[in-house]
Amino acid sequence: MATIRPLHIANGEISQISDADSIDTGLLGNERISVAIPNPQIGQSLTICWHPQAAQIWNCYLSRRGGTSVTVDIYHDADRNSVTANALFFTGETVSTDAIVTPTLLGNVITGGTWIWAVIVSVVGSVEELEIVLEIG
Amino acid sequence: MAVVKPIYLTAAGGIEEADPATDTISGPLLPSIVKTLSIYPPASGDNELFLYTDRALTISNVRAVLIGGGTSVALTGIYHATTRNSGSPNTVISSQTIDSFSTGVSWNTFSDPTVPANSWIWCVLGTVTGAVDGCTIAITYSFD
Repeated sequence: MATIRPLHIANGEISQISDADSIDTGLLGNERISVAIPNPQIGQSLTICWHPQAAQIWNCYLSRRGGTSVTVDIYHDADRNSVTANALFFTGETVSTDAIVTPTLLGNVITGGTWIWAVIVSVVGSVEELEIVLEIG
Repeated sequence: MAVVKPIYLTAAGGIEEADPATDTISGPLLPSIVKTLSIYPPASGDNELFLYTDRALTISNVRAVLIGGGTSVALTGIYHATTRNSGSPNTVISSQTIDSFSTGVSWNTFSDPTVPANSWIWCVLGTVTGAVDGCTIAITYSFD
């Protein structure tokens, strides 16, 4: 086992990447952030993550377990409690299946230094858990 | 688009393809990773786990924010140790106040931010002033 230092081409020559270099983030793939919200309640505002770099939310996957449905909005903003935060969906997304729901994304470009959070808009029945997965890169 | 394996210079001066099963890439080349922990509602004495790491890492930033009402939450400390319930863990940061409801409070000066492999990282909260709905703490780190 070894800790390696990859190579790159600079001025037509192969050299080792130094600590001062950084790898093009496009090569690193997208990050997936998963949260499970047990027993979601109307009005709950739940932080998903802090994201220090500018990025895009490429996909959002939702699912729920138990009950009938849960409607959720996802927001992102530098101000965690902003009342004018950027919405990820056109309107609250209702999840009424155990299968995966992939909502159409509205404002999916996030700036560096952004909080991302979910707000539970409505719950029908005894929903045991809401699952949220964001693919960010 | 392809999933590629980097090549690297061996100690003997040759070039070999990296083996994902056994090799790791030198840490400074990798991007920072953020682990976010939320506590609803926070209470004095809460002791919550961020993560367990099997690789050495260095914490570069801690950011925290409050949600809803209330006034503040004391951050007794963020700690790391190879034993989760160690009575004498290593202190990343201690005795801070979380009182931001907007962009968060941020720290990047630490007592001991270097976390050895096979360590637990957790936080302990102190006094909660007012009825705070939620407290979120995000640590930014990179593998060594």
